[in-house]
Amino acid sequence: MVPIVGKQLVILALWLALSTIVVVVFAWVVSSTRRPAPQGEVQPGGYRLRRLWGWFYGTLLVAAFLVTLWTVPYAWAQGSSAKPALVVHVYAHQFAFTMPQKLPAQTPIEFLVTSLDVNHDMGIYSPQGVLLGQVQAMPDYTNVFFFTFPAPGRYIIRCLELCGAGHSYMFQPLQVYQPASAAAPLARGV
Amino acid sequence: MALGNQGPVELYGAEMGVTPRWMVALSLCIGFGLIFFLGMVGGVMKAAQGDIVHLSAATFYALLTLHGAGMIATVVVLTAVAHWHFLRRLLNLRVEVLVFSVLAIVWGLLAAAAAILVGGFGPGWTFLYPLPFIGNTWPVWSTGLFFFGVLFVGIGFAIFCIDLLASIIREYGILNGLALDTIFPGLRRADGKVAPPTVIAATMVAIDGLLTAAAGTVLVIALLAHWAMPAFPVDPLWIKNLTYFFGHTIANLTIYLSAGVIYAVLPHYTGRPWHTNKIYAISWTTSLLFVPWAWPHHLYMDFVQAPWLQIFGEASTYIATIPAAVVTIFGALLLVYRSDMRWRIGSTFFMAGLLGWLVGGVAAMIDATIPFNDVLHNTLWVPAHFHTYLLGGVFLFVIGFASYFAGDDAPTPPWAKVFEWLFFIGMIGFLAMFYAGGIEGVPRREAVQPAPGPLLAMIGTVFAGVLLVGMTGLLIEIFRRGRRNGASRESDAT
Repeated sequence: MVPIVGKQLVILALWLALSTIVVVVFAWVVSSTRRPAPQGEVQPGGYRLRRLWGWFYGTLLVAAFLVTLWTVPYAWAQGSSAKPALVVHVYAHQFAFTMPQKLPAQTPIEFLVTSLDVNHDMGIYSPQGVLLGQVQAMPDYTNVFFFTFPAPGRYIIRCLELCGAGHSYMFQPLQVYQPASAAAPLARGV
Repeated sequence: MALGNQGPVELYGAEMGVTPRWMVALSLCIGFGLIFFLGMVGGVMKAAQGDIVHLSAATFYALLTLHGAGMIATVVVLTAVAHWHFLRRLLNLRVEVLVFSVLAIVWGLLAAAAAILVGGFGPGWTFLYPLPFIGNTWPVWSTGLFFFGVLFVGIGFAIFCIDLLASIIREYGILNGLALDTIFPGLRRADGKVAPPTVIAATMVAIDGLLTAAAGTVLVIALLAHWAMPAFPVDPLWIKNLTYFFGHTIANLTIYLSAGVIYAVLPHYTGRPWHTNKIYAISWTTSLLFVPWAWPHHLYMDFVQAPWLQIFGEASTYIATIPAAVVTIFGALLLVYRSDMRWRIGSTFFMAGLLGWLVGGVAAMIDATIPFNDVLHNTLWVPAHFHTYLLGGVFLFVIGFASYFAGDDAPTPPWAKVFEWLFFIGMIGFLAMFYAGGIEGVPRREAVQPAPGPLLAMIGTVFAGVLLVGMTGLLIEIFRRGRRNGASRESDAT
């Protein structure tokens, strides 16, 4: 099994916690039908609770939305941290990625990703098999994707968009190495 | 301020017209037959991913396309017919139009099925351009036939929506169809009649449904033009946006069609009326405005997409959940809370469906959050949430409706309860394997998955089998009751 770490761990914990709350609330409501009461008796309290729930839920959504604005993976949201040390062109096609086979770790890379035929998706899997990020590869367009490999190792680049009969086999290794000087990484196009 | 009530359906009386039960019953039978067949197809795909049976990649993707396109079209028919069953009483809808609409959708589905089963067409039901034209494993004719099929599905749904909207305008007017007269006194009718929640839901579905059908028509005509004349230019990004506008919204609208059914059926089981008030007017107007704008969350990983559209897509997705979470589902829980609820197959499935709607909705919102989407997009998390939403939500409402329609006054016999348990155990296990795969980064839509996909698929196949056994037993019980009770507990014979 792939270790559940990073964002995946946060996502799983969030979903399980919220789903558990939902299940408990439903169980409570279902069990309440053993003690029936006139609608007029329970409705006023229910309406007050709905008002509170509405405000709480709305506030939660606004907060979540604002937090995400600062953490989206797009270049415009990353400001000066998006300055790449390396520019890498990726050409996806049925059923491989034409791109360098070796790239440095701990180096901000600007991937320029496009497709030569149908839609593909360049998914980056860590040596442990954890999905770290992805970007679509679309014909006629170039997606600009910033990524920094956290550590050296054998990563997998895998297509995540159905692209034809050979889709399952569209993956390839990518060797990520420790640059000679992490402080002065390469600044060139590949 | 409660101005209008959604009471048990018996309160409406017969003066508004009668439900031609044969049409509803026939649609349910065809729909459940298709669901069973397409569910088997899904089970075979799962078994192939779990290395239990062998399928060639081309066959797998063809079956994947059939399963997706077929299930969406079938669920649209089932939820539309269930909602129509109640709306006919309120809006004087004509059965001939429903027949025509259902026939168009079924014809479209048959055309698509022929393209898939005979031609091997297999780019997935979202058929992202230009894969349908560069697939290499299916003939050119199958691409065209599939698009004609989709066009007919869109036309059928548009006919349904047009008839709905025309009837709402005749009876209430568009603004009052959304119950905006509860907010603006100037809009109030002389007789004080206010649209009940079922009609409010229908108004939203009719308008957004027409927008969706229009987007689908433009999409398919552009693709058909490209099919007939390959020199006809098609922009991949525009087409992708149109595809998800159409595909996401039509799938999403099935839950809103279901909401209209919930408003009508829960009062029957709880013995409590459902009120129309300002909150419902605001809620459904919000849904009307924001549900059609949620589709950009399918394109978060297309970084070339306009930034405002990405952000607006996330905001719209969030906003669209507020009416469901705060009004419809909360309202349903409030209706059930300490009511003298009659627990039958129907009421059980409606409550379970509400639960599935919320749990699947939470998973969908997580996926629709941009910083999470880069590790969830196109993994098994996506089918996890939409199967929770469609199988664990919409389909449960349809089974609940079928049980209600067949006559649900007698308590559930013990042998049927066994099938109920089998259904829910199978469903939860089946869905859990999708979630586990998603969190493990297993890609969706792969004939051969990386580990731990095959192991999860093998376990998922067993649960799918249990689910199908449970479903078969329940449908037999519902069918048996339907025959015994003359198809409808209301005796609303034509």
